[in-house]
Amino acid sequence: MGYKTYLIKEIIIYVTVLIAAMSLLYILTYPVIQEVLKATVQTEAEGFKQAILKHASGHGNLNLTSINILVNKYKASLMAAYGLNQPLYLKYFIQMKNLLIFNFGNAYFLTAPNGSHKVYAIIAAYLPYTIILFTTGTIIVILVGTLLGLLSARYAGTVWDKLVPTIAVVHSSLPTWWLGFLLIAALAYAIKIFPPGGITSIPPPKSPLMYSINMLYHMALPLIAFFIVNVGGFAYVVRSLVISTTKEDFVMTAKARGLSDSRILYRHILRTASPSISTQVALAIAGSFAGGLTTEIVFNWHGVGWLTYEAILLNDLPVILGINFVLTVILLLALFINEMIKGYLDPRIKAGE
Amino acid sequence: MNKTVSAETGVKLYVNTIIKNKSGLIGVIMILFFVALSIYAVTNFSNVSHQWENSIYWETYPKNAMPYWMSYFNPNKIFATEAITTKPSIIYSSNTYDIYQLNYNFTWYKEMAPTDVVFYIKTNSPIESIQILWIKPDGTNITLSTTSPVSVSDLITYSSSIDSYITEQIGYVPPSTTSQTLSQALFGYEGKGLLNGTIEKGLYRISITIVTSPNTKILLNKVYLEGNAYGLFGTDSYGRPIDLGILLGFPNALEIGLLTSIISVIGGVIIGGISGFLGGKTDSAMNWVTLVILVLPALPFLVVLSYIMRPNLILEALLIAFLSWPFYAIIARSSAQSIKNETYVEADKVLGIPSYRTFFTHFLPRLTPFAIAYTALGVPGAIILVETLSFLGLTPAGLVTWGSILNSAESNLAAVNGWWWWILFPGVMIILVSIPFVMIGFAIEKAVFGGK
Amino acid sequence: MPILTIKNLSIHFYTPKGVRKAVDRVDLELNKGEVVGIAGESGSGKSTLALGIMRLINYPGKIVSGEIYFNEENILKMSEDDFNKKIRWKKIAMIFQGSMNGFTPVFKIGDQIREVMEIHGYNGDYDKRIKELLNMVELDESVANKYPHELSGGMRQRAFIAMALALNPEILICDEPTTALDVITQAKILNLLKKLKKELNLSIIFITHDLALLSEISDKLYIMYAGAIMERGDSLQIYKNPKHPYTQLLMEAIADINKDYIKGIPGFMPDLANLPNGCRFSNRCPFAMDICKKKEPELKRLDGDRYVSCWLY
Ligand SMILES: Nc1ncnc2c1ncn2[C@@H]1O[C@H](COP(=O)(O)OP(=O)(O)O)[C@@H](O)[C@H]1O
Ligand code: SF4
Ligand SMILES: [Mg+2]
Repeated sequence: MGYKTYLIKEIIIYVTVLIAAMSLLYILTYPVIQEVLKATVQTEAEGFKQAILKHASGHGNLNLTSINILVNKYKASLMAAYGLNQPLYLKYFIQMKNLLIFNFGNAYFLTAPNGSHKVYAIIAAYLPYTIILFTTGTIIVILVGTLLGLLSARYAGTVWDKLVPTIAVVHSSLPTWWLGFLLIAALAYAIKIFPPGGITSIPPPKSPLMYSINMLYHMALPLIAFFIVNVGGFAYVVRSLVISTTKEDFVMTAKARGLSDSRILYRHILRTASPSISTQVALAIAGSFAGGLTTEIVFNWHGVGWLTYEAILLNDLPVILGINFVLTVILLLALFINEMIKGYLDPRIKAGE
Repeated sequence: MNKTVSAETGVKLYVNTIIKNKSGLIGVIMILFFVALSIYAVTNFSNVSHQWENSIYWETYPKNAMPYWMSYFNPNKIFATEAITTKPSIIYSSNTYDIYQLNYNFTWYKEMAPTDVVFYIKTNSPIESIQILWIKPDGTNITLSTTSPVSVSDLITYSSSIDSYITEQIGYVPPSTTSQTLSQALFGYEGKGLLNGTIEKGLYRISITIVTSPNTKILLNKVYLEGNAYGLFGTDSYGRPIDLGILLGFPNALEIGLLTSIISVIGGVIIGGISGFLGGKTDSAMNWVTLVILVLPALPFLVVLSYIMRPNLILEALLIAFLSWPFYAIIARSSAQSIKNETYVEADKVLGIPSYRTFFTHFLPRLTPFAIAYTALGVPGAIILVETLSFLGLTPAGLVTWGSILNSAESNLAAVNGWWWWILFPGVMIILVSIPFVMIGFAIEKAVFGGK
Repeated sequence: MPILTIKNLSIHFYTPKGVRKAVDRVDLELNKGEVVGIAGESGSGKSTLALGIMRLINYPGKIVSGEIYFNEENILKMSEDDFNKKIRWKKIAMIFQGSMNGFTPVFKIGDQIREVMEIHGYNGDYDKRIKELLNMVELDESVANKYPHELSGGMRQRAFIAMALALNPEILICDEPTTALDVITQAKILNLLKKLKKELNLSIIFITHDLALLSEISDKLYIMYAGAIMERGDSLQIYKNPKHPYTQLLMEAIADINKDYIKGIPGFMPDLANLPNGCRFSNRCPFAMDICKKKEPELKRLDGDRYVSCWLY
């Protein structure tokens, strides 16, 4: 199989996976959201009717039938706006087509800070804040985690070796949002060292420099929480990958060849384990775009996680679908890029399987 | 090492390994302890759990009380609720109404007034009027009355009487009156310094006069001098004891954690196992399905589903399992592939034994220890997910979970108000209940994969 | 003066189940240009002995006593750094049973041979030398540009031998170099080693559980059982006239092609952490006597360089 066919095959798989995942989301959320929208239309129409009636009572030239016609017209326009009057299959196809061309339509209720109702504008407004916080955090976690994992794999039987599994237990048992909540209570309210939440102070500082410093100051606490919880997990994965590679035959023969321990670790073992580590890095970075939904809520950090939750509470289907679509695309892209990087790092894969 | 260990000796080996491994053993003991707590909670407190959201039920409990053991550090400022009771005496009776009098005496030597005073008079017909004479040790007194008498009344009920008393003493209208200020007014020295925090120490007397319809009986009577410390872990803003909430959360956390983990691991191992075992087109198709579920953004997706479905505990477990089996399927698939490459499976094929038999004789047994390890490791993740959903207000209906306790801590501004016990202990429980599963999982993981 | 002399070497593994004496007071001599064969069942400590010579014993193992002289220098007394610089791979190289997996999977064969030459400071043209080496092991020169996974098991084993020869070592330790290969490849590798021995005047320690294989190549033979040497001497003489009951049983087994010789000896090798009193073969020996269970026989010299550890002699 040539590399090109391999590539095309992979792309087909990834695109179909994307469509299937979105269809699943659409089908599962469809019935309830439709109900909610119908109810919304009903209440809005009712409100409209009351308003007319109140208005009409002063004039008397509007009879009940003409009012009803007006209300029904209004209702129909609302139904159209929410896409409620099309047949199901059509709604589905239109929705999928629109998703695939990144046309997420208008939000039902939410707006971007600049007032736009466009879903992509809303997502585009919130995503950067998630990236600033969680992608930064993830990169720090990856760097420190890799270092700790290597130290622990290298100095077997020492404190380093014991440290990593211990902090990995922390990773597996500690919710970030709870740690954040506790840190807010302790370091933002009890001892007032850090701000309790938000992206900047209100009102934000004017000068760009002060603005950045202020934002970093607000990032500190969520970053600390994120770091504490996640560094152990990454270190543990790196450690396991390195240790399992260390058990392979080539390590013993490398030693027999007179290569130094550090040369074996950093050149041979790390290089051999790097495709697997790269997968972990790709998944971690892709995951960081979803943000810590709960962590963002706790810290009142208005990123994608926070936006998702707002959209869910408001039943804002286009926003929910849009966010999920974007996140899924990011994850699939990361997996795809990872395949390419792995192919580059591992000669066994480059051959095209 | 002989690779064809039978499943039975294999499992025995892992059980041995867990128990021999120090952290594995500690893990097992901790889990047994948690299970015992859960059984205790289910058998003794299931009726309380129905009252959890009913704020009237918790009325007589101190609100936002810190853990009782904190009083050890400062017994004069941190103390528990005291309840006093008396024998009611009837002072007037006619065929139109009865008048009862209840006289209470108590001494107060603490440096702080109670956080609230709650009067509880249970009668078999409604109270028509109530008047309370509060006499301080130096003989000064204040009369509390209310226009709407109820059987359980706290100081807020009498705030108009107390407010005017305060205004009279300090010379201006108090800015805002909390239960604590109202209580201070009842315990401070009369005069300008009424609210400055000094406490009159000595014997207090309370005389409550109630008017009831004829032939009314007083079934119970109590005056609660509310403390600011309660129980092992304190109380929340509704008076609900945190230790009780934590206890009620135990069975739910364990149940959903184990259920979810078992379902997703079994699902993942079977799907991944079959996929790796069969190979070819089936494998590609199953792999594709696995990928579809894998790429869904788990938490947002789960929040959407929980929000619109409002699942009960079992459905919630199924939902989480539905989103987490792919992780196990992927690992199980690669294990199955490597088992498949081993010669004896090839040999079986040559001998013409039907492949489903090979699957059950060679594959599933070999995947069992793996499945046990991942079940253990999966429990904390499942528990954390459920508590996270709870924290977001998506608790399965009718359940008390640690996440839901934390949710109300957040909405009642526990962090702002410094009610640290409300935040600390439920979270610590999430960690504590997770740790033994992680330790056992690591121990088995080491036994399964470490020996290579 | 032998090029390699091992005196009283003991290597123990400190396992939770007890101390495994994988190598128990072993003496060995290897002369220049000679092939010494070591044979014994699996688990008798052959690899441990070989790794001991390379100073590659890892936790929980430890060299507890003994001396190993390369020429006249005790290599166990050298610092790790010195040993790495002066002896390992430069003077003593080794090929393993798993040598076909001995290359780091992500680097090209040529680069890995080059790396060895670089870190040991080989003077000369690297590219020329790599070609020469590949020719020596009868591989195409293009192999230098290939990744390990692109070669067959036999080719990888050859390439590994090429790497072992890169620095012109004086001693080559071969630990079951053909075990994982098919019969035809086995024979080819064996012939290659014979050829190299002659051309390069190599001294070889050849380890195998397959006694039949050794008859083709070895000059001297050591029979190892449960960590200790049972019999040693001239290869031909031992084949013709095995003295130790264990050796005799091994010989019988290979004479009878229908018999798998390891299974051919009834009973199991004892736990190395829990050796029986007296002779370590006594639980399986058909000639066992009272004294055998009480006192351990010494490795006694019979004549010339023939030694046997058995109360029968
Ligand atoms: N890393 C180790 N840990 C514990 N015991 C070991 C280790 N390596 C070898 N041994 C013990 O040493 C004995 C000899 O092993 P080995 O030298 O590999 O035998 P052979 O090469 O003859 O098959 C084995 O019985 C084994 O129990
Ligand atoms: S010493 Fe005794 S038991 Fe050991 S081999 Fe000789 S005869 Fe057999
Ligand atoms: Mg061996």
